[in-house]
Amino acid sequence: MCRTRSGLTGLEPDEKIKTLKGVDRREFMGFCATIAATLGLSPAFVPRIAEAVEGAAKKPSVIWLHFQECTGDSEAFLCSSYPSVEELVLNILSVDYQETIMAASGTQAEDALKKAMADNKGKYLVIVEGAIPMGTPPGPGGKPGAFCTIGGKTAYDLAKEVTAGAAAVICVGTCASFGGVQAQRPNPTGAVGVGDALGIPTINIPGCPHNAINSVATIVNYLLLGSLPKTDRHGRPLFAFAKRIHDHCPRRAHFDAGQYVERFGDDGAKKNWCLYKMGCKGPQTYHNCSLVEYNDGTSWPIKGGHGCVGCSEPDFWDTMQPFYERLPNIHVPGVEATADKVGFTLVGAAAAGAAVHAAYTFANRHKIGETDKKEGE
Amino acid sequence: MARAGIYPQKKNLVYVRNFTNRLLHWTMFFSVMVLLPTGYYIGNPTALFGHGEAYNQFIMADIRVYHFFAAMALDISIMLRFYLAFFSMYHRDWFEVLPIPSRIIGAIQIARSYLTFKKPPFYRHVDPLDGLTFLCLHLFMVLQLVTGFHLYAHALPGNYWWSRLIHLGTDWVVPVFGSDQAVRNVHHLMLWITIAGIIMHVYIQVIKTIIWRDGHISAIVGGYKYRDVK
Ligand code: SF4
Repeated sequence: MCRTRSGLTGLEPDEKIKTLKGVDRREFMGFCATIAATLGLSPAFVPRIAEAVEGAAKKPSVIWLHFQECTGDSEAFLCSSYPSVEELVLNILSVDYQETIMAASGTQAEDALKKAMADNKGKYLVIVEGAIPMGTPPGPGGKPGAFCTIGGKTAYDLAKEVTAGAAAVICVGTCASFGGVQAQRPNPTGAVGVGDALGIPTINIPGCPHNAINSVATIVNYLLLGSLPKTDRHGRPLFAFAKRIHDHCPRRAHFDAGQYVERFGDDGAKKNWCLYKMGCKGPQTYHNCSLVEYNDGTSWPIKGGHGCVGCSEPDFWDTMQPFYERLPNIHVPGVEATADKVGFTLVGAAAAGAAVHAAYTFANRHKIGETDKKEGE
Repeated sequence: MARAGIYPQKKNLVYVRNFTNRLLHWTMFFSVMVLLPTGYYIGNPTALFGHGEAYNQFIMADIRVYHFFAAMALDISIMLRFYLAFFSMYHRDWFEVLPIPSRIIGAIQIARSYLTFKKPPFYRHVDPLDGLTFLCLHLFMVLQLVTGFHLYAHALPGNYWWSRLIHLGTDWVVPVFGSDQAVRNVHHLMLWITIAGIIMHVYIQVIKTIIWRDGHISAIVGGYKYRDVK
């Protein structure tokens, strides 16, 4: 955003002020503006955000836990390219424990975790990625939660221990928030979200993966105001999850006009028509993808011509299926059909019943007269 | 009765439905007639419409608005009907649709009469079989109201009192049916159940009018039906 407008700021390239390691002032302000926009704050807040981020007296300590996940959220968080979010993040936060990127391993890593917890008791942020399995593996010696064990501790024990002294718990990704793909029926490991597993309030930033701008904005919100953002009933920050994809979708005009893609690759698809009939779950999915897009504003599913699958909604693997159909099938034992088929059958049965009775009445019409006559006597 | 007709002398005219009752019935009828096709289009928009440029047309948006207006009309009539069933000055009929044993026996008797053409006793307002059918249909309509409002509330901003109110009143359908997607499916299935219900309801009224010559259809238009003179 800022690069293209650099002429407006009146700074010559050699006037770049290095504020944070490797990030020039212009990029930094661009970052702050993006965060302000994501949080729904006016541009007047940009300098205050810059102040809060730069001036954080002591970088908040962050402990990043990995449980049942694919590390996609770490990727989303750390591999963003512009405006160097990962540089900023690693500069404003003291990430003391992150299994994927930390140099230490084994005992050293565990010591780092213990030290971070002891030094910043009650002040550190815990970011959790991945679901916690609550089930018991079959076979001898299986103990509850042993499906995911790190350093000899189950995910549950580890999460309980680390979150006990945390200032806040931020769940990134749908797995940590609501269980994710491994919680799909029949959920063999008994995976649940962190909040559900521990019974504690968490900030949930779902998405598969979550959008790094939302987690960064949550942290900036914390630095700026000393508090966590307001959330909806699923613990999702309202600044990112108050509106549906559908409400800001660039294809919405085609939805309202009744112009739909009927098959992938058809004429409508070429014209970027609405993906409603291709099973788009935008109308029931709360997320800000359509505003901030993914990978630093490069693209997102609907821009790429694929319907939304609702990845930021609880249990989306179960509840949003089928991904390419508008309505799910009806699952009643012995019945596996669409609502339309069941409905046609019902209407057909009602019409057939009426027709049969009409024919019966017609065949017995003389009886009707008799009844009438008898009554008249 | 002075009125001559196809049933001279043998029948009396009985006033059974007052104006409010008939008005509500026909409001429901017309709103349902709007709701069924618009609802079907919303669930499965056909490719018949919607070519040309998007700025020229507003088909889905318009159809949704008609659906919402008709739904409001239906919801208000249903609520009024429920209110009047308990507090009407003219005729409080909530008791007549309760599935108590004697009514179930009565309903079976009437169902039998459709096959044997033996006339059941005269019921001034609603007969037991109709009563039970109406109970089911109205409960279905309430389900449709609740699921419909829940889907509608998706589009409302969360921080106004009316959307909070709608969420408060309808959020329970999600755990009951499993998910938003299932709620939508139930709402869609109800479209077909309503059509099947309408076919049965209309057929039964027509057949009653023909077999028993009680003027059941006249009653919902003019308010009077016929009673045999003993
Ligand atoms: S593509 Fe999806 S989110 Fe966009 S307008 Fe169509 S249904 Fe809504």
